Amino acid sequence: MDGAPYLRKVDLKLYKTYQELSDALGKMFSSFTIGNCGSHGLKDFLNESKLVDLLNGTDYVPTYEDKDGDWMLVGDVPWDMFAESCKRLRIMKGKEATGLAPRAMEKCKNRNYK
Amino acid sequence: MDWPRANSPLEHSTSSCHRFTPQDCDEEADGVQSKERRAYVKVNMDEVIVGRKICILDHGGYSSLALQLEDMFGKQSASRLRLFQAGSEFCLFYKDREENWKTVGDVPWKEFVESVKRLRIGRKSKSLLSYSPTFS
Repeated sequence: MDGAPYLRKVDLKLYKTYQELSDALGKMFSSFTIGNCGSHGLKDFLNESKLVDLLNGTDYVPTYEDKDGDWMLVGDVPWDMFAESCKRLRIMKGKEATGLAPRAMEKCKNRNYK
Repeated sequence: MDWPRANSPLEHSTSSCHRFTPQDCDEEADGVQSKERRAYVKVNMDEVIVGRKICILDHGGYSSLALQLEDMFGKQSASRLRLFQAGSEFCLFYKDREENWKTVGDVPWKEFVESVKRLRIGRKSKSLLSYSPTFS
């Protein structure tokens, strides 16, 4: 999660739905956030247009790196398809997810998330 | 807070992909799953880090596809995408099964559905010939 001081590992096989994952991530990172990512789970995590509504950059967006190395928004495909293709999760700051920076993309690629 | 469940119908679609549930698994499961898997294609927009996935079988034609992409990416531009409209700043490209990038809309819809592997929303000002795919 962007801004959190350490990384966490999750076993996607433990969950069967996006809701379960969302709840788990919310609890996992609740201590690092106020407001939009409380213990109730990541607030307004996803709706179809949410990605592009995040103009103020204070919200977080769940993204994942797939087996091809592409960063995708979580939630577009059925759960099983997601769980199989997801290599890494990143809860990205909204501003970075919607913008527009080759520099940000390089950060995305080079940052060593394990 | 609700994450969209992938098996809930999309607003503009017949959601043929999303009706697949684990309960449907039987001896046809492998065939259904691979067809469903192929039906999901990645969509990226120039200079936007995070891509999306759409189910191409949700759509019956280009205008339906344009509507969904407008919902997903339209707010990235002040003038919206307005794909396929004259005066739009953006153009929709697709990668076909031969790994060639082409402009969406040149072939009949059914032919497009069978050959599309990936989509990209790019600015018209960039020539397709000079396009160096950031996305493989």
